[in-house]
Amino acid sequence: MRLRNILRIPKKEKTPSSDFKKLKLLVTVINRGKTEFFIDLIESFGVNLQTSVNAQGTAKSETLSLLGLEEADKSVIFSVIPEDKAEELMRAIDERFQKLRGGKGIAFTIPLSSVIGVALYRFLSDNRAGN
Amino acid sequence: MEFQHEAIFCIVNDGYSDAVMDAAKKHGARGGTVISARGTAPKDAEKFFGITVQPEKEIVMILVPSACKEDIMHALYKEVGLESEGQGIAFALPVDSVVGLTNNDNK
Repeated sequence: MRLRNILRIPKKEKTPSSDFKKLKLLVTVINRGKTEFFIDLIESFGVNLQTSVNAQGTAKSETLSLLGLEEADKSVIFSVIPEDKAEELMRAIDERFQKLRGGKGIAFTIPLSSVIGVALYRFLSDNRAGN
Repeated sequence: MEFQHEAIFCIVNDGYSDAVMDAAKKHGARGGTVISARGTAPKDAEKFFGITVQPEKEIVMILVPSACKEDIMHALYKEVGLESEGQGIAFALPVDSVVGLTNNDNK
């Protein structure tokens, strides 16, 4: 008996995974004088949460210090960014690293596994549509 | 997912960031970033284990290729681990993508 054909249980509506944005932690290390610049740059990509801390670099390059170009005072910017903006943002940051005088730095992303709070999640992923 | 780089965070007592960097550089690290911080520890844990936790800390953040990570972590444990004066702990986080490393051998 083909019961299966008679009883058609509709599949549960699956929430499309495209609505769910994964988040990453972006860490940007730059010379302290350029902090505002990079914060503004990252914010222009719709990133809402950033924290910057003062830090010191330890990389010594004999040539650089001979020329007096060593800048040890750094800023570390921690930003939470949505996954879909990551590639574009990293490219923009890299471009500034190369073109901006004194703008050289390092940036990397760390995948985030969880966030607590729907309102916080919406804030972090800049979801203004209220999905 | 394969990660090319890892970010090692090493938290040590104030003044030991140089020791951290020395240990890390021996195994392939190029440079690090030092952040000042303050540690906390419950008083009864201090009494029980017989150690005093110095509150003033430094966090050394080092970005390294995954291949070097194990060696560096072991070196940190030996040189600035909990039993040393640095009273350090270290952990590594996977890193998705990196920009700004200019070196030829870092691809």
